[in-house]
Amino acid sequence: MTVRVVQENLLSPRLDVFSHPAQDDDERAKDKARQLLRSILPENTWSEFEDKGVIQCRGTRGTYVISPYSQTEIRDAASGQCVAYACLQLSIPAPSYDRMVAEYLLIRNAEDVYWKTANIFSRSQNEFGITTVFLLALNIALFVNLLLEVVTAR
Amino acid sequence: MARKVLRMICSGGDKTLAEWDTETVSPHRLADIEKEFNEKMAQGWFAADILEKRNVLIREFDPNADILLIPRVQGGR
Repeated sequence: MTVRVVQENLLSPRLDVFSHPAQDDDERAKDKARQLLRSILPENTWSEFEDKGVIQCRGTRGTYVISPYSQTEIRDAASGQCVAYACLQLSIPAPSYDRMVAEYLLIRNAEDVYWKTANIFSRSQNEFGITTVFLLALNIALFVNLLLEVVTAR
Repeated sequence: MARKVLRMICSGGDKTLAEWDTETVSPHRLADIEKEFNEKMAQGWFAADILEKRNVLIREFDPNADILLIPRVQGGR
């Protein structure tokens, strides 16, 4: 009986520690940044973010799809096709949700500044097509070469 | 009571630099907060009034705004 009581007394603080793990600084920072993002976004945009993991923001030059994990997609407002990618970062290390806050506010208020500041990588359909065709041709040539090597080796 | 906040984005999420009540804050205290605001702006930070989702960029200190200071931004990869 005494042993059990002692064991319980010794174990209970440890169990408390393990059942409520201390949230580390990164997680706390991420949570705060997420709350900040929520506080600035309209309700429907926040709901969309919770569903899809991205926020869509309409500007005069297109529609921007801002993600916490990847570059911002710039889509043609009419067709919805991705025409470019934008990459913007804060000059200090901060949670990615804070970068999203900065992007959102810049796009809404100073879209031209956003374009001047961010690195924009245009996505041309033609370039993509040529590259694909070139790689395909290269692969076919290598395959034919391999076949010839095998046949001549016999 | 109209409580307003000046906060800044930092590595820990965001940090409150100052809080004040527009009805009771002293001019001296407001001047201190404005000085802090101006120092950040001079360093290239930008500021937004995010009170009730207004989300407008501001260049000058407004004691009636909830102000978020955002660090300088740059192109990334």
